[in-house]
Amino acid sequence: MNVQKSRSMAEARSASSQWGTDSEASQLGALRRGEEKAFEAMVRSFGPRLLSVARRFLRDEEDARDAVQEGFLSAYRSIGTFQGGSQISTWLHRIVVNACLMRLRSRQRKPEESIEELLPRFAEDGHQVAHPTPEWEGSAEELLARRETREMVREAIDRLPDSYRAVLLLRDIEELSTEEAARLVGITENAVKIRLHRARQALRTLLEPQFRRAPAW
Amino acid sequence: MVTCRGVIERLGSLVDGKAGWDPAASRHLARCISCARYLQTYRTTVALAREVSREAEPADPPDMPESLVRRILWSRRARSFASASWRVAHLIGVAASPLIVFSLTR
Repeated sequence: MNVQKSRSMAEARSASSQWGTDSEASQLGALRRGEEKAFEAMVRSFGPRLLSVARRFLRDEEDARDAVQEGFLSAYRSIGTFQGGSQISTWLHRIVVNACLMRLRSRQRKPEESIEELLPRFAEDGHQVAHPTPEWEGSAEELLARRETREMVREAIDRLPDSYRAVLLLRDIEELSTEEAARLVGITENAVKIRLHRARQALRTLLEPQFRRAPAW
Repeated sequence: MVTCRGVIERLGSLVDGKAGWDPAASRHLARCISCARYLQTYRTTVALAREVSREAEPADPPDMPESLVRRILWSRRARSFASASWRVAHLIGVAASPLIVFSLTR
């Protein structure tokens, strides 16, 4: 058992280091010829990063693994169409993000949680109902210096409804343009802007109880 | 007159530096402490989300589970096999069709 495990680890190391040492052009050639070693090297080299991207989008570990698998199979099928204009890592990244969005879309057939209660409320005259808005205990850098902040922010992002979280991830984290995000999600650019703004507002509301400065009595 | 609602609904344009920000909204922010704090905490929220997600992607991410690697390699083999089988079946069909036509027309 241990021998088998150490052999597979050695194979893994050899396959993943191969991508780093060979030129991308020669690896692409091998992939196009259908060589299994080249495919394995690609999976081992880019898989870990792609899995963390998929986890961010899908929250569910099994869904994230399925999306990565779909992404690699889709890359295998369409490697002939890859022009080489961008790096293969960028191309794979885009394919896996697409696979994640497809999964999110299929989930959205189920009714989604409303975000309305996380948005600011206004009186009839247009003033904020919660007046005045509380200050927070510090800037982003100061808050990040605390050990627990990262976990709180990640949990709050995970609490956003899928359709809002997807747009927030595409625009603010993946740093795609509004146009690209709109094309990937299948909505208009204006709808992306509205959804992004609402997602940020909802995230702000979720974080406020953790970071608001206690009133001075 | 620009209200809190008018300002807060357009904060996205201000934070993203896009056109469409009304100078009257800037004047509102200068005198409304509530909206100014809202803008500040909105910016902090965006910065926190960006920073935390960047950290979630370390330069050297941990290895992928071996079971997943195996699953992907296996499904690629299965797909190659299915596609090769389909090609063979197609060739057999093409080769056999004259025989079938011949036997039917006899």
